[in-house]
Amino acid sequence: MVRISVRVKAIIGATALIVLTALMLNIFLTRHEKKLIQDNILRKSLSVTSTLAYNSEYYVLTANKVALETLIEVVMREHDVLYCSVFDAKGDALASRVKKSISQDELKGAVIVKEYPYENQRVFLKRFKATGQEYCEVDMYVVSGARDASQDEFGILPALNARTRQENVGTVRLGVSLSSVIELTEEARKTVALLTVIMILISGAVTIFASAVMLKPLNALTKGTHEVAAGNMDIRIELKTGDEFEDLAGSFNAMVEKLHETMVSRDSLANEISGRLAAEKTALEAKADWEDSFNAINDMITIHDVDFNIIQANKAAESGLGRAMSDILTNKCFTSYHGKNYPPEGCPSRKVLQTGEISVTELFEPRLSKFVEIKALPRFDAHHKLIGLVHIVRDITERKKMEEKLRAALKEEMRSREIMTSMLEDSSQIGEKLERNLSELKQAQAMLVQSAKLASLGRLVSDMAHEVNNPLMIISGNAQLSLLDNSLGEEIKKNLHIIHEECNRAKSIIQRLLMFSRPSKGEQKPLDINRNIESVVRLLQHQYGLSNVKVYTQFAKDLPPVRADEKQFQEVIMNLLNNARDAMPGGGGGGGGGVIDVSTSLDGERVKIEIKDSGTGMDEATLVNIFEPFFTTKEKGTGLGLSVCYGIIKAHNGELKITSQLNKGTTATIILPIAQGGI
Amino acid sequence: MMYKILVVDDEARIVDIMEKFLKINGFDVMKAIGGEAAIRLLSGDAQFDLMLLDMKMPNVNGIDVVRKKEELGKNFPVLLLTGSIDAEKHLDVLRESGFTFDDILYKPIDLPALLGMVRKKLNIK
Repeated sequence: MVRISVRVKAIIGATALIVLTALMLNIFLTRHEKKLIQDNILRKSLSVTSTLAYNSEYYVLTANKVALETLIEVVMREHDVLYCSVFDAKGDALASRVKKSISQDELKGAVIVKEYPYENQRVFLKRFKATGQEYCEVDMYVVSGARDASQDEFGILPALNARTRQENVGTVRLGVSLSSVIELTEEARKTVALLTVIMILISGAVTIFASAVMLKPLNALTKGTHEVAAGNMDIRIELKTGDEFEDLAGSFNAMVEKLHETMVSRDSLANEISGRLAAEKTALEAKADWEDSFNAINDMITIHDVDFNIIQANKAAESGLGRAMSDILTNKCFTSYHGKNYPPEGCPSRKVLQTGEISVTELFEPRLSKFVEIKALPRFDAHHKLIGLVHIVRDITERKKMEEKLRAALKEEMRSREIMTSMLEDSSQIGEKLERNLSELKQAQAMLVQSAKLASLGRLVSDMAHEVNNPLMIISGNAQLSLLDNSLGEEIKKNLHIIHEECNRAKSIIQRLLMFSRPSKGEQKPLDINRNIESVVRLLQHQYGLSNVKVYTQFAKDLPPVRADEKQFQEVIMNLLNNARDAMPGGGGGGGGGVIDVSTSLDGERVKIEIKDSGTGMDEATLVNIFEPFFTTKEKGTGLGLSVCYGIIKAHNGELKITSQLNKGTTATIILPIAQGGI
Repeated sequence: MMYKILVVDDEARIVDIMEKFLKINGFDVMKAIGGEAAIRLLSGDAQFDLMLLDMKMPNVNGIDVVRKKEELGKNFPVLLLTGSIDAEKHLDVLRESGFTFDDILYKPIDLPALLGMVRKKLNIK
């Protein structure tokens, strides 16, 4: 579709309107003027004719042709009069003058346009066209009648008065050209046309100007609207026209301002929304990240509230506890971790909830059969209020093993160094030391064999003990009961005593055998080593003194306690002292005398007890067999003493070593770990 | 007043020895051969001041008897008898019930020692 601007439309519209108006005006004016002129001429013609008729009355009655000629002459002077004639009542021409004659043909088309009644006389007005011209013919009767004497200027009154009634005495005919009317009308039309053209030109100019004046702000507004539509919100229209356009521009600016604000607020809202969405997304991603990391940690981590409820647990905790996540999250921590209904002793979680400080514990967890480090860390809210804790369980079994290995390696290293140092210090003793090391090695080997032997022996003895002790009980019990009977003879009583004693001996042998083969831990408590050795020594000193054997003690001060069963420990010391005593020349009973040095010392984390005698010592063959049960060099020995000692010390995680040199003496060394945690 | 002692062992001869010895020393004695008999007596109306209890018995052993006694709410003291040295492993189980090493007598028992323990448990001077 062809786009037509407002400007063009305005011009076309205005022009069309003007042309139409001019056209209508033209037509109207032409018609009106023509009618006016026509009427004017007709009226004039009528006036002339009537005057002529009136003035001709007398001359017609008197048939005064000359006078009539004179009258017509006057009439003919009129510009538009084409012809003029006066007829008598019979229709004969009395006088006639013609400026231009009209043929009969021309008159054929004549039409009576109007018939005017004129003072009771008939007037005939004919209008016709002839040779392109319009003509008009007026016929008027010449009427004669009575009249006023004052009007009798010609003195014919008496003749006139003779007639009693008015009658037509003749006819006056006048031909008038209407061409002047046509000319005038034509002229008027030209004027109107000219005026129309001028009006069109003026209106065109006015329209152009007006449109220019109106369109400028309109264009500015249109341009502004386009800019706004294109998104330019900074556009403002400056119009100082002082009219509605200025108001419109103001409203437009206000509207754009509002729109801009709306868009800005909409944009900021959109930004806010997208910002929040991004933040939400970030938060979700962060949560997922956190959970991934939480689950990636292979330590068992659980998060507890202040009531020991587990509110979160990672995958490691789930698999480590061997429970379903839903189960973990609906149970108290001590139920999930320990299967208990209350927090156990030393529970780090409980400590944290009591103190609000980090608590760390290392322990061996039998349920998992692992060494674990349990770390409980407090959790606080923004107001520093304790809201729970993070509970981390780390498997440190490997670390413990490594530590153990490292310790062993260090010990070995230290020992090697010691040996090296002493070797360097005293190279002359190298051979001797090597020999001793070799002997130690053999002894260690023997001990290994021993352990294997002991295990099977232990089972046998244990089963046997119960079976043998019950009959022994019956024998011994009955013997004891019988002894209560005072009526029995002395000989029988003596025999019963022997039965009782031998039963006790059998019991003792079985007990020793059991203790050696399957040493019990007894009732281990932190034990003051020095005090215990002292009491045993004091018990035996008197007895030894009889054999001239002296016991000297040298105790380390502030020796830490050792975890041990008091009775068993005392039995070991007593056995070793008895062995030392028996090793003296003459079997201790011979009064050969001798010295036993008992000393204690701290060796790192262990306590060392040495019992050194100045006895006869042992050869290597003997030394290899000393721990063998029932092996004895004594006449009355059971061969169980050292075996029992060995079993007891071993049950206390300690070491028992015997070193000996023939004719120089024997040294028994006990090494026991110190008790953890003090007395 | 006469103290009433319940003697429990799966060996009838051992129970007899205890009974005779304790009666000579002025105690009232009830005998139970085996754990089932002991539980039967404990569940009855009889009141005891002390129980001598063998640990190793077929079917119902000493620990079962102690448990039942506790279940029944009987609070009198118990002396454990055993022919085996490794009573400690039982003791570990019984420690919760307040047992110590002093509450164990190893067979064959020296009767005067038994008398001493019984008197000590019953607070007789």
